[in-house]
Order: sequence, then structure tokens, then C-alpha cells
Amino acid sequence: MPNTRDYAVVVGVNHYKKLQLLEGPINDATSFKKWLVDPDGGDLPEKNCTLITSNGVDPFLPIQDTIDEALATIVEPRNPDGYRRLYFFFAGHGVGVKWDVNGLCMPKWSTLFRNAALSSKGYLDLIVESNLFEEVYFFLDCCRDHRINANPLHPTLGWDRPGGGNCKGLVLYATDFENAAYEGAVGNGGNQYIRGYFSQALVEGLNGAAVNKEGNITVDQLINTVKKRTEELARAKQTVSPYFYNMDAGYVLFTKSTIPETMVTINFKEDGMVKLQDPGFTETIREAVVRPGDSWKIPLTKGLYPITNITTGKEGGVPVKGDLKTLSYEF
Amino acid sequence: MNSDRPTFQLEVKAAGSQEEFAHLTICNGNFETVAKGYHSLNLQLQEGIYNITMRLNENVEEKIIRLNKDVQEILPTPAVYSSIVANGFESSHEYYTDNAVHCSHVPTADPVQGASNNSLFVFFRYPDEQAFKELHKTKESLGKGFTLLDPQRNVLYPLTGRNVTESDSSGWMAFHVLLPPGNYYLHYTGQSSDPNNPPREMPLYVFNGWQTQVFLTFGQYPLFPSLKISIQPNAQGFANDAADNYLLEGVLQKFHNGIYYIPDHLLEQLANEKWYSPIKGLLAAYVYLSGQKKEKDDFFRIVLDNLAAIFGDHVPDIKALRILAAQHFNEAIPAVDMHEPCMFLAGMRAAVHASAVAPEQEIIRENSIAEQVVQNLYADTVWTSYLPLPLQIKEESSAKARSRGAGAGDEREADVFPDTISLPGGQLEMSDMQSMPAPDSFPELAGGASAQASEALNTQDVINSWVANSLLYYAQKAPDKIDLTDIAKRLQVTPHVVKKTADFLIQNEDQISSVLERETNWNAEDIREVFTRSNIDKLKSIF
Repeated sequence: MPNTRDYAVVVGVNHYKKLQLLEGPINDATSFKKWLVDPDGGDLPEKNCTLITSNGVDPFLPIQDTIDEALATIVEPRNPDGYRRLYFFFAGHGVGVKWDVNGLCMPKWSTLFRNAALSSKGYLDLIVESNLFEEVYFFLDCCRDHRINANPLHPTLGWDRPGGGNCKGLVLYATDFENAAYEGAVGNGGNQYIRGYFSQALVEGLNGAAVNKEGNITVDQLINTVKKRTEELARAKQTVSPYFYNMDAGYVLFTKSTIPETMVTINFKEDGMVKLQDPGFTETIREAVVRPGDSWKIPLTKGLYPITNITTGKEGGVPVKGDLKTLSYEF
Repeated sequence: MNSDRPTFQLEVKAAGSQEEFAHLTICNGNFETVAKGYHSLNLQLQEGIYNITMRLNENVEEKIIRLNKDVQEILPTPAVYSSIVANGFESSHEYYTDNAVHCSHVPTADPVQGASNNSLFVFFRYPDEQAFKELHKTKESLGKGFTLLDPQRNVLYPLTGRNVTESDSSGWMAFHVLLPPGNYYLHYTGQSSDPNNPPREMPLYVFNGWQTQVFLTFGQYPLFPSLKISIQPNAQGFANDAADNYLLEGVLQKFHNGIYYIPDHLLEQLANEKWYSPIKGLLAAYVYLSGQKKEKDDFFRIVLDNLAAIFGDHVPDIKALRILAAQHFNEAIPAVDMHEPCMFLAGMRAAVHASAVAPEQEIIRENSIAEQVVQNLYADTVWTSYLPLPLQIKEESSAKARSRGAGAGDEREADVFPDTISLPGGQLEMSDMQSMPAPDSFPELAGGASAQASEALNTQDVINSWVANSLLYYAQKAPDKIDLTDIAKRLQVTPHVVKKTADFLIQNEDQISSVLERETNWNAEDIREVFTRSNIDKLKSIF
């Protein structure tokens, strides 16, 4: 049963009139939308999910009105069943203003045309204070640094804003305030493509890397997983910055129907009796004599698996972070 | 995990330079966070497998621990790089450190009259000799383009010639001069042809009895985000082995990233040292008052009063801290007069915000240097820096230069615009001054600095001003929803800057139209969309 009370506006801007061309945002937005409409993901009806991307043909599109109209379409006409969640995703150039305000640059943006950026807080406040949604999620994959005063736009929409005191909210910025967010090649072989590191980590987390042993993705798990993976992809140049309210760290965002597994190949370099245990040391997954060159192929869910060569006393841990389909571990 | 399992002690500690700033996270076998904090963690945990992550600046290191007995794990901190050439930083080298120590004790330039026990010490360097050889192709002085301005922004010293001591083999330059206490400005002309190397200026306060120390690393050009300022007793000079250097670097690094973290060690120093280093006190106060925490409010009220007692309420950073404190404590904004910029950007931002919230108080004095810079602040460093206003030459220097051309005939033009102007200890190349960009030669940075430089605004500058552009945008989009203070808050400038720009637009409507008809530059089409008569007419109803 799809989440018919959930909606999304997903924006990816590669093309800018004055700023450097980006290669990742449209991939990021498309990938996030794919997760949103996946029955084992966000499970949104396709029609509830608006994807807005730049096209490189008209250097001025999208504009603020494009995004505002997408939001207006969600609330007019009103969903008779009410609203549960709104996802707002943006990938593109950004400019930091304050720790809780970021400019989301539209294609026209330049240092002179500083208006051509959306205020992340302006939009968040509007949506939260409307009291329309029970939960609001903002995922912003853009830079937060700036060398000059910036001046992002507040929404042109004029809803009633009774307060939003009960609305739960989670905002994940791709990077700390005053810092840059990066994109780069991910994947391997012929399957390489450019992605924002944060967006890549986010979708990986939502697809399973952030699932805990009960099959849930909690606020804390999602933040920690995305933070860690983004740091890995960006080689520590980028630290995800979270902000959430009216929900505690253990709040369950999603429950996965199946816990994703990684096919782990353990390659042995030494002789001995080797034991692989579960992360809680409660059961032995495999125990056997191995020789150098031997390998084990075992599907494992997320966890840190103790491995011991009983003969030599050597100890290790197989880190399965849940973000990869296959993993090799030397022991 | 099975609750019947035995428990053991796990002690994890970062060790090395900046260990207090190393952030540790311990996750259990399910990658769930069980503890996190700075410097050291000491826990009683169930037997199991744990993943430890240590983060320090941009370094992340992980370690897997099998906890089946008490474990003490020491994690060495990674190398730390800093512009400060102190012992313990990977980027410090003897050939920089020794010379910095020496030059901080021996002035390189003739003192300003009346100066005795207060000084400014500036040290420029490359990451190392190798980088100097690879990157420094021009053989020009590292000080080229740098000038020290007096409190009125008159040129005082070019940082070249015999004002400085410089190495042409290892890539460093030192400038040290005794100065009366006050606010000075380090001015850099940049290169108009390189958008990565724009002009910049920053205030540097010289405190009574102290030496203000500035450390800057060079790459292909000066790397201003790497700039560090310290303040030490004048007689002590630069102490390369002082623990304060690591503390300063660590807190600044976090502060720059919006992390308002003050190690206990620093808090203890503030509490126990009667005459603490100004920079530590200022920095700690800025960090604490910029954050949301409240539990040490009373302590920082005392710190702030101590700082004011030591340095005086006239110091711009003390004024800015008073404003920031009022905002943090939710109190009325005090009556302060910010006519000069302070050294910390957080202070300027607090003052700009206060000036919009309480316009009747005129926190930032109209047409002062402080007001002139607020719309052109750079934000890539914790220090206040901005696209500079045009340089001024001291009257006597200018007069001297001009008098050389008073002869007549063909020489006059050359003398009116001489190649160099003689100043104490050296010469200022006119090319430095002429390289100050006109706004349209720096389209990406033109914010109307020169438009606000004097009472007489210039039409072309206003057209290239982002403030004017933004003002007209709001007039177009929401003329009935905005007012002066609202716009000032949104643009992060003072209400007076908004008013002055609006008045100019209203009074020069015809002239603007005429300029735009002739305009053919890169963004003329975009500008014409905004600078319409109907938008200017809407402004009239607002202002």
C-alpha cells in the first residue's frame, strides 16, 4: 500500500549561467526520486513526487516559481486524507548564510544576482509552520561556504502559518556551515557516474546501510551512516550536518521488509582454525581450517563481525557497513 | 548483545598535538554509537567488538577493538598544519620558526612616532622551501601588494623594501613595527586578472603593551583562510613553544566550522589566569557567545568584564562582544558606537544584526569605515575581511609626490601619477593602487564598496551593486511586505546603507535609465530586468 499521504519535491541543478557546470545533481535527484517511489523505499505514488531538473537548454530554468508551483500543486487541491510527509531534496550549487540558513542556487545565480537562490530556512519554516505535514525532511546537497553576504529568497507562496508546533522535522546538510560539498565518480568499471558524495551516501543509507538489526532506519542511524559514508567518499573533506526537532534520535523513519546483505569474501593469508562470529559473540557463523589462498563467501547483514584464528591467536573484525553489495576482507 | 556477558573497561585517548580537539566515537558491533566526546572516553562496556573513530580537522581514523579484558587504547593524533610556525605543527620548519622568533623581537621598520611597547608583527611564509621554489616564480617580494594602513586608512607602510626582512631562498617575509595602540588595516591589492586572488583588507588591533601577530601561508597567492592572529606580550614576541599556539589553532579551526567548542583546559585558564592572553579571552568569548549553550553564562559575563577592564571598552572587539553578549543573554542591545570594524567576523555580524534590530541606536555609525565595509565582507575566515575601499595616501606623502610634478610641461602628467610614492622605509608602487578594481572589472565581487566609499554615489557603481539589485528585487516581488529594517536584516547590511542606496535610486532614475541604455557589458540584459522605472517607482512608496 503506497504512502499516498507522502509528497516530494526533488530538485537537481547541473547547469548554471555563471557558475561552474556540475555533473552530479541531476543524477542525485533522479536517484533519490527512484528511492522515493520504490515500494521498498519511500513508497510514494509517482504522481506525488515532482522531479525538477535543469536542462542545459534554457540557462534560466528552473526558477523559483517552478519550485513554488510544485509545492502549490501538492496542497491545492488538498488531499482529503491529509498529509503525512514532505520530502524536499536539492542538489546543486549553494551558498551559506548562517548555520541554519542556506541559499539553494538557481541557474541564474551570480554574486550580483544573489536573489536567485532559495532560502532553505524560508522554505522549511513555511512548510513546518503550515501545520499541513506531520513530518518534513530536507536533504540539501550543496555548498555552505561563502565569501560574501548572500541573500536567498523566501518562498512566494502564502499559506496560512498557524505555527507547526507538532511537525517533526529532519534537515540534513551535505556539509558543515562554511564548508564545501563535493561530487565525484562513484561506482566502478563501466558503471561509473558522477554523484554528490552526500546524495550517494544518503541513498545508500536509505537503501539499507542505515538499517539496524531490527530492520529499522532510525534518525540516529541515518545520520551516523550518512555522515560516515560521506566522509569516506569525500576523503574527510566533508562532514554532514544534521538538524532535527520534535523527534528523538531513536525515531523510526523507515522499516525495511528485508535486511539487506553484503556478499563478503574473506581471503586468508595464514593457516589455522578460523572462527567467524556474529557481532554479539552469541553464535558462530563459520568455523573451519583454512590455508593461505582459501576464501569464504558469506552473505552478511550490517555489523562488525569478530574473526579469530584460533591456531595463531590473530584477531580481527570484518566491518560490514551495509552500503556495499560485495566486500573483500583480507585475514 | 547478551546482557549476561561480562563488562570491561575501555579507555580511549587521543595523544599528540591538538589532542583536546580530537573527536572520538565508539560504535558497537552493530555500528550503533555507544559513546562520543572529545579527547578521551572511559567506559565500562560489555565484552564485544567495537569500532573507534577519531576525527581531527579533516582527518578520520578508525580502529577495531576486541574488548575481552580491560583495554587502554592510545590513538596518536595526525599531523596538524597551521600558518603559525610553532613547534609541533607539521608545517613549521626551523627555517621559518627561528626567523619568526627572531624578527618578532627586532622591528624591521622604523616606528611610528610615540609608539613604545606595542607592536604589530606579520609573518608570511610558504608551506615549505620546496613549495616556495615551485610556486614562487616571479621573484617578487611576498609583501608585494600588501600595505599597512593607519586608523584613518591612510597608507602607513608598504610591506616591501626596507620595511621588511625577507628570505629569497626559503620563502618567508617578516614585518615588525612599533605602533601606538589602535585599529590598523592590512590592505592587499590582489590581482584584477585572477578571480581567485581578489583584493582584501582586514583590521588588526594593536593593544597597549601587546604584540599583535599575524601569520599567513602562501600558495599561488596569499591563502587568507589560513591566516591566524595571535596576541602576546610585546616583550615576549613570538613564542614558538607556547602551548597557546595549539589551543588557538584548535579552537579557531572548530569556530571556523561553526563548532562552538571550548576545551576545559582553556576554561580553566580563563578562570585561573589573572592576566590571560587577549586572544584566548577574545576567542573563547566569541565562541561561547556564538553558541547556544547557557550553562556558563555567568562565567562569561565575568570574562567579558575582565576583557573590557584589560583592553578598554573602546576596542572594537570589546564593543562587538558586548553586542553579541546581549544577543546571547537575550538582553537589550547596549549603546555602543561601532565606527571601526573589529577583528572577528562574528563580531561584525552581531553588530550588523543589532543595527537592523535597533536602528534607532545607530550601532554602526553612518558613513564610518565599519559601515562602509559591511556589504562587502568575505566569510571564508573567522577574521573580518572585506573587499577594500580605495586607498588613501597620507596628505604629506601625497603632497610630496605631487610637488615633484609641480614643475611644468610634459613632466607634469608623469609626476601627478608617479610610479612610486616615498613612504617611511620604502616606496609604494602606484601599480598597487591602480590595481584596485573598479567594480565592473571585478564583476563577481563588485558589491558597491566604492559606491559607499563616499557620500557621492556613482551611478555605474550602484547599477553594479548587489544591494541595489536586491532592493529592487524586493520592491518588485513584495513591495507591501518589506520595510527598511526588514531589508537590512535580509541583506545583512545596516538600515542606513539600504536607505542611502534607495535614495540614490529614486533621485537618479533618469540617469540610471540612460546608463543602462548604453550598457553592453556581460550582464546588461539581466540588470535591465531589475532596474526598471516601475521597480524604482515602487521603492518610492516604501521609502
